[in-house]
Amino acid sequence: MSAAHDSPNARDYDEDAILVERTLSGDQASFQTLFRRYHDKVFAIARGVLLDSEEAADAVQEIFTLVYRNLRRFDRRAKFSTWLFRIAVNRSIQQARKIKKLRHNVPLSDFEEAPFHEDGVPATDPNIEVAMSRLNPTDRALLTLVYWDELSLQEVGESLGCSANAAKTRLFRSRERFRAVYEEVSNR
Amino acid sequence: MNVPREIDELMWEIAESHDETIEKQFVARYPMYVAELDMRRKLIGDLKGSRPTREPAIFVPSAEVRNFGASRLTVAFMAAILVASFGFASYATVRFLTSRNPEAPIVPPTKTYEAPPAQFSQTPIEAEPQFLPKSNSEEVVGGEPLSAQQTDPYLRKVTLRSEKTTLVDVINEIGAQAGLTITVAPGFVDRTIFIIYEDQPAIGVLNDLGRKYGFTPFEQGNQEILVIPARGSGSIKETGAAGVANEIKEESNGQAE
Repeated sequence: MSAAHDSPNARDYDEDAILVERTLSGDQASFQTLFRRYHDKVFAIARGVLLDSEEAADAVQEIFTLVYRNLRRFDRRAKFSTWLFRIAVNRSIQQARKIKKLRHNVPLSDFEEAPFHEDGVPATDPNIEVAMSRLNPTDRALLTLVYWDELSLQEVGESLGCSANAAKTRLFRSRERFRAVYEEVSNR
Repeated sequence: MNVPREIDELMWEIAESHDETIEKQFVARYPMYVAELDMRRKLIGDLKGSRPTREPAIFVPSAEVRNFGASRLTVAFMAAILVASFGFASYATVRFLTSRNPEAPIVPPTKTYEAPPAQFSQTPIEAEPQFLPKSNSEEVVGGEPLSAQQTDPYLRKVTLRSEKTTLVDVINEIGAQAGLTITVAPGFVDRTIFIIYEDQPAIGVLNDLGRKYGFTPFEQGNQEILVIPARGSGSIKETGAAGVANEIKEESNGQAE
């Protein structure tokens, strides 16, 4: 198994708890530290679900705003990261369902001359993004958590509000659906 | 390609793991899945490689957070409305059901069957027969006064005693003693009988006579009875009566009625 499925880092867990406590005590810099630490993963979740970088950037700000305002509701016995990711997933899926923005009508030729990702990352296969756009927001969120944020099945389950076994089953199905769509897009 | 579930899951794990040792062992055991494994490895690699990144800006709390779903307050309010509606519906249903079968009001008795006026009791039926029989039958002794009889007129006691009378006369006497209006339908065959019934319910006597002589008394309500010539179960109260009634066969010398 890859490192993506290893157990979470206990040291990070303790540091997050300390930063949360400091933030609640009035130390705004501690929350900025949390923001920088998890911005990348939260952005990946929002970007994977919403399929648009600007939408994802706005969503990230709103997600962290929600976290900041509700930090006192955070149960210190749980992990801050999974609590954050759960908010990010739910928020992004809600927004995606509202927007209902799909990219499956984007012609493949648009990617042939400009194969670079709009975020500046070279797109290894444009069919990946087309295939992702054809999945439902929940499937996109799950694949994002596993393959972009490299969370363990336990963490994925906590972020989705289910058990690790349930997360494994859902991942299997999401992956199959992604593969079917990817093959369909690739064979056009 | 139809891959068994356990091999399917194993291939996904190998594609994600990048463990060459495990991959060689799998390929050696399942050479038919080499191409499939390669495809999956590429798919996972491309998916991971398309991960977007963005340099984090400084966090600035948003002035507003867009609401994409019902707020907790809205949900709580709607839940309260729902509970209140359910409670009211239950209350209204129970009230409706109970109103259909209200408890019988307790009505104090305002009327009782009291003795008739004194003048009536002073003239016992025995002294003044209620009817004059058409035939030469002996007097029919009347029953107890109405004053002392039962509430249900159909069950009022009658007393009939005659060595020779007609069936129609007997029916009329029953009506007179019980306070009933008895109507005899056309086609009724009259007979000459002798009869002895003492202190028996009126409808019981009629039923008894009906079984013997082929007629049916029908209670019409309102203290009315209709006598239909034919046997059957007409009376609601199949009340019998203990008594004797036999037809008298008249001699052929013309004394029959």
